[in-house]
Amino acid sequence: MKILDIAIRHFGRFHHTELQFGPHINIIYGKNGSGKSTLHTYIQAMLFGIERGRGRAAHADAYSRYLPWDAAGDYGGALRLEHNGTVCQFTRNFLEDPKDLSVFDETRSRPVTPPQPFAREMLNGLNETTWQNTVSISQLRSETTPAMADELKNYISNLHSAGSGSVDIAAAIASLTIQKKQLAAQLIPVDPQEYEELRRQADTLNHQLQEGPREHSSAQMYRQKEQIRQNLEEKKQSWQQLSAHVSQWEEQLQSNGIESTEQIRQTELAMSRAYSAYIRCRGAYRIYRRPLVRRMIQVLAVILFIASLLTLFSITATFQHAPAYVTGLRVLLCVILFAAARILWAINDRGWLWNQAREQLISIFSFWLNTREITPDHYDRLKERLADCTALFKKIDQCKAECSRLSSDIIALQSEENRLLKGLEGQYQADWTSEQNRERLKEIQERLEAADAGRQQNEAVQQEIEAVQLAISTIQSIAENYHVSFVPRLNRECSAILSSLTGGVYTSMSADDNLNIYIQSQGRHLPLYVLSRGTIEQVYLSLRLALVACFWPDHSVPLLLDDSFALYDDERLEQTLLWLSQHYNGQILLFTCHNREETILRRHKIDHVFINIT
Amino acid sequence: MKLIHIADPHLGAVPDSGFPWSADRARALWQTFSQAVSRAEEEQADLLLIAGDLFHRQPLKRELKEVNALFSRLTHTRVVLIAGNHDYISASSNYRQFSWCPQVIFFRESRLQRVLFPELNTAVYGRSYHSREDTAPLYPWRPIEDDGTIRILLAHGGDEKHCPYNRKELSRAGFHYVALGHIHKPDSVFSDHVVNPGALEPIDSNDLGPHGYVIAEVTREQADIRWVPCASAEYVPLTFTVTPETTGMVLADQIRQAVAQKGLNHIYKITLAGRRDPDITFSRSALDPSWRVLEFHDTTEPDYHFDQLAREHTDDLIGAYIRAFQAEQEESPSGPASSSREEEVRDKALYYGTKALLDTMKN
Repeated sequence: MKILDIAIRHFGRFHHTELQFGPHINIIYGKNGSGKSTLHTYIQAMLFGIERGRGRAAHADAYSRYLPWDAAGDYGGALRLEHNGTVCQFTRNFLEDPKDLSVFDETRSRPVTPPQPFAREMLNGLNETTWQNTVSISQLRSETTPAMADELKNYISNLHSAGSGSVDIAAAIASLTIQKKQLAAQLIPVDPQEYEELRRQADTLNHQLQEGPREHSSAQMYRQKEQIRQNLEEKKQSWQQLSAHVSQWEEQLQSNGIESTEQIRQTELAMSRAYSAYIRCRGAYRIYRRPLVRRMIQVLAVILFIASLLTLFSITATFQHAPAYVTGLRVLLCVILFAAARILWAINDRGWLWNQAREQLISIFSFWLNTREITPDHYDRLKERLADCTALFKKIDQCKAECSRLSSDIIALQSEENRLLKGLEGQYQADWTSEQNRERLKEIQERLEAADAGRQQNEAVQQEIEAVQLAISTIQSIAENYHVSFVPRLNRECSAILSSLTGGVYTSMSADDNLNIYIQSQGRHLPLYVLSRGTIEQVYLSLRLALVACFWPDHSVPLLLDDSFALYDDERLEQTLLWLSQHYNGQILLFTCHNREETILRRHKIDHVFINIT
Repeated sequence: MKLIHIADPHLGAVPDSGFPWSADRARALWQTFSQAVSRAEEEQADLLLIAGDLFHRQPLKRELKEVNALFSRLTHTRVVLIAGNHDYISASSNYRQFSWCPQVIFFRESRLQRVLFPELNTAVYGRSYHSREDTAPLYPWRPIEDDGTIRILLAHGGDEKHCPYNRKELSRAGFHYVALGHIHKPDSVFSDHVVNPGALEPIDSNDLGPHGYVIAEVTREQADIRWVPCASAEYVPLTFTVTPETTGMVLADQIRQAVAQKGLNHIYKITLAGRRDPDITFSRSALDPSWRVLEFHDTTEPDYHFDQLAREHTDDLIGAYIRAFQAEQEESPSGPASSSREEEVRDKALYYGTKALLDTMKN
């Protein structure tokens, strides 16, 4: 492709300007500020259109910079170019539409609609990126942009492309990456830590359930407790019954005035004595019944007694001189009187004794039998009664003893019952805890199952993600393979050009995947900044020329060098210009504000076109 | 005598966990079991045999009480129950001290037990699992002696880790009816007196087809067996073959028709096969949420003719990409090294990569 001429209507400072270019080297000479960069930009704008900035960037973008001040209502122009035997004209009006393009095919004498595909063909595969990174070399902006690395990769992969389109690796990988992200968003989050935690909890609970207290013992304990309760009830009832009996009997005894066994014993003793006395002295009651007789007997007894005493006294008084038979008679008389008195007194005594006994018996009988009659029947009855009472007392005592035994039993049973109740409570608590554990275990097992189901679903999505990842890495590895075989070639090319341009001073350079450059000197890789500015420019120039050589081996695109050699020394400049003229077959547009280039070309008699735009 | 034979109710299970109908299924298990018990009452059956796995896990007290309440309403039927490998009687199992209502006989021990029903002239033999696995054979080695009764064996097992048995030997073991459980798939034909009614309701997605229980009239001479389907839902596998003309909506319509025909309550396992338009992907999101779709397996292949594409793109990266996958395929066609999963992943990667490269081509 060669640019034949340009016809600027309005662009920057240029109005209605026409320039024609030659097929090989063109020097466009102009003093500072004469518009060289404007021309350079114009050519780019004509080929690719102008990008409008948005918002804040709008006032500083290229569109605004070259917008004509005098607002002639027009902003644009034309450019004629030739490629593969076809000549066509690009016309643009940036004011209407910065990307507006009209193409007229001069060879076939007709306008081309739609213009874009035809334009692209005419541009021989140049796009804005490759333009900026290869053929359009501006002042002090020789470094390549990052986008160039991608372009290179695409280019490499499309090296032998015969198809109508070219593969865009970066875009394909970007699309796959987005797909992977979307798939990842479909994954159900299953926290492996949470899962492990649930598993551990389940195991713990299982363990607890297995090791815990046996639950059937609560039924046993309950039965035991119930038995004891029953026992307790029975004993309590017995106790109450016995108690009731005892108080009944005591009540009875009390109400009859019977207080103790001692009392009964005494009574019985008294009674039997009295009764025997009564029976013994029975005979005397006849006498005793008549008080007169009783008195008489008493008096008589006393008289006789006194008489006997008198007799005794007389005996003792006359003992010495009375005759023995008189004393004997007196003694006999004394004894008889005494005996008689004694007998009478005894009779009296007996009567008195009988009376005593009778009175005692009467009092006893009246107390016990409520009767005043003294009969053997009553006596027997009373004796029975007394025996009964004694027996009753004994029974009472026995019952009391039994009651106290029962009491202590009851107390023991109650404490046993309490113990069991506490134990039972504890057991019920443990039962409840066990059941809670079971419920919790069931819950956990269900959650684990749900997590497992989630994992399975994730499996399918995971497979998709793996597939996408495999696609990405396969594409990358194939591109890498291409790259690996290509880059050394590029580096050789760069090194050869650099060597020529520097006259053998630097002979070896290499570029990596991202087009970062390293210079090799004395076996070491040096980054660029160790070099002088001029040398750096030459390095980048070498890279661009090598890239051009890769992309367009037949050099069928124009090189635009916009004041690129400002920093070169004379020697370098000469070498570079010579190299370009010898090794570059395509069109070269060299914008400069110096005379050096013209001078050198003239000196070496190199064919060129000189355009002065001052 | 008339008996009803149920196996593997798995009460308390939550099938298809994580899916919206899961709670419904859990309820259905209880519902169907209750219906079966009611049927026993209606038929005034003499015996209700439950061949193990009454519960899906160790039973809770409240679950036991629910079941006991159902049993206690039976007026004539006696229930005979054993524990299976899922609800095995562990050391802490609630089965140990739960007291059943009088209608229920529970063979609690792990040795073979026998209960005699004199009024039915029937003896039932059975035993429970005390651990998750039990490799002892199902039936006693020596045939049971004839004592004039109708003899029934109630047993849970059928695979190598759970009481394996040989059907022929079992049918000659001296029982007039063998009530089996554990295998969830029902017998396809009930030709003799060794009967597996299958699980009462399908529990997991491999339990395809109808499920139910058995009603039988058993005498010393013969056993009349009738299988009653009663499950409220089935797992239904469906396959749809697509063509490059099939779109997502067209497929959804096909699925809708199939589901409407069979029923919304069933659970579907859908597989897609065939060749589809490379721009179309079939996804679950096109499915109506009221359909119970458990599995959605897309085995369709995009209608790329990879050989043709490889030829068209011999010289560029697309060709190299396709060739890379085809070379792998040739290396290991379906050898032991590559599993079918790996093959699937490779096929998908081939499709995704090719589609991305073709779609982003610059013209």
